[in-house]
Amino acid sequence: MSDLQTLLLEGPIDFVGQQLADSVTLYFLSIAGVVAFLVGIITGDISLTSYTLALFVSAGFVIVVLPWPFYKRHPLKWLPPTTAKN
Amino acid sequence: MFSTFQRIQQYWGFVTTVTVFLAAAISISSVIQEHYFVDIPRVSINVQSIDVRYGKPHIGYNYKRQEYSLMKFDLEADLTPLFTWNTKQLFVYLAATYPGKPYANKVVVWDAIIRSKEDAVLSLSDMTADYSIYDVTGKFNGRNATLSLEWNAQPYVGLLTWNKGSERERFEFPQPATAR
Repeated sequence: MSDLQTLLLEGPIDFVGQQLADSVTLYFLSIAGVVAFLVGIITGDISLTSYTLALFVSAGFVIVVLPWPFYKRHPLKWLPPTTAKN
Repeated sequence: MFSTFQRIQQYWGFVTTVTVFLAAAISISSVIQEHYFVDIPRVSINVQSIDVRYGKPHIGYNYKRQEYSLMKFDLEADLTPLFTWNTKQLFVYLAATYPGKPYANKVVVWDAIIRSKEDAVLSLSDMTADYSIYDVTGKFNGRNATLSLEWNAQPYVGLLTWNKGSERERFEFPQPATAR
């Protein structure tokens, strides 16, 4: 696989980045639900609720799924390779 | 959340959870809104004329002539407050209730589907009922009946609710025009 394919299809991120992506999913989508509800009840139009939710969901998809650099700030430090003793 | 596909799955899983909670919130809020913040609309019903005639039943193997009743009515109602942010449409119907044995009868004589707030002001005069009434015994015997406006509110999200106007119009079934 080329580097671009690895980046988009595999999209590896480090452990701290995984935790961050999880928190972003939780908070971003929870806020999206609350905002969509409020938009609907204030404007009195339920279609705006679904459009607001759809907008947040698509934005969050871009933020969470793509392997952004801020998910890769804590790469694992591997031990230096040792040679086996005979 | 290591790879792209893991993140897609986890993200989409939480999207469905949020959607379900949002739908529940909308449903509960509109029940509260309808219960506490919407006044039951004022309705005025007036029976203009009621006609009872003999006719042949159009269903079954019973060829005995029976009484049919068709009425004309006036109706004034402003149902706009029933349109909350979660109301898709209203099914409105005029129901006639009159005593019978062993159970009381309830017959819908007119109905309408209201799809928007702009169409929710009903002002009908000398309207012919959509449906005639016929009794299981074949005779009305001059029984007393009441006519009331009822409605079924259908929301975008949530449960159907039924309610009715407090106004009642009383009338009596007359004897048939051509007694045979």
